[in-house]
Amino acid sequence: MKFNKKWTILLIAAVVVIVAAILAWSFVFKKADLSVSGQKVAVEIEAPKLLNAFEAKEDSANLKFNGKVISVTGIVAEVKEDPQNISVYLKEKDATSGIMCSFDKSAVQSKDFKVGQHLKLKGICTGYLMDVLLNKCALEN
Amino acid sequence: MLNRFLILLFLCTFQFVAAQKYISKTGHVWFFSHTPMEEIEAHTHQSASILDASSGEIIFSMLIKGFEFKTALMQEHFNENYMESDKIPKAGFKGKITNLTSINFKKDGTYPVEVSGDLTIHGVTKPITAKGNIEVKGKIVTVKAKFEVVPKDYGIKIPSLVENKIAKEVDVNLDTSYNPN
Repeated sequence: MKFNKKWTILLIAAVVVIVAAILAWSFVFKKADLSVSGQKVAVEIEAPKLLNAFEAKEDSANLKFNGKVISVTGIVAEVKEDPQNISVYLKEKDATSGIMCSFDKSAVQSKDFKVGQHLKLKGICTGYLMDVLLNKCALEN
Repeated sequence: MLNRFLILLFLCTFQFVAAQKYISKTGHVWFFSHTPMEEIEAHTHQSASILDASSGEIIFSMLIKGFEFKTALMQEHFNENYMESDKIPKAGFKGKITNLTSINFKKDGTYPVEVSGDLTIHGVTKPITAKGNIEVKGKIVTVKAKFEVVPKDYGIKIPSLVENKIAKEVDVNLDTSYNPN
């Protein structure tokens, strides 16, 4: 085969198309992260302050925090293990509500937590039901 | 006369004691859409629910943004294009256990359950019936049920381009463990 200009251009074009197709494919089928361990924190806040923001004005808090990676510091009130995930409840002693944090089991184990401990974690804020909810959580040092 | 009054008082007291509310903040709710073109599945482990064992009332609430998908793009489309979760962040159910008398919350066992009520998705409310089981194990009550949702019924607009990728009927499942309140 003669390596003339025409073939070279065609070859380069084919490579470009293949690379573009691979990039597009990987974008469409990009697996969602199971935790935000590799993601940067957008907001750092204490658990009671985050709770207060939602309890005072839910709509504003939704706009401010939902969909963002939030770093929260609080006291562990409860740890619950289910078949697929671990829920850590950050709540002040006399409060009726707190921050419910959902961890995938690939990110943590139940033994990583202790009731009463001061904990810093990060996760995606999804909104407010009976508590403020964070998911895809990861531990922070 | 006094006997009747005492019996009535006893029954009232018993009724007050028997008014047991159960609560869950980590309910697992998930849905499947099967088509030859695409399999869609999403899970939330943070659905909130209250179950009143004496009246049979049952309430569920969940955040649309709390549903996790296998691919990031699917989750984005679900929230932005179909569910408009920025505008309508929650979905919920409010209803009653219709066969309450056949469930004994004080006796360990698995009881078939039927629930009837109003399901609200995307701001639209429709009556539904769901079937499942209630498992009583000491103080813990677990409800497992399933039902179908027709996205169109709830005003969820699916572009004709992707019509073949989303099932006409989506299977919804729930597995929620309650503790006494």
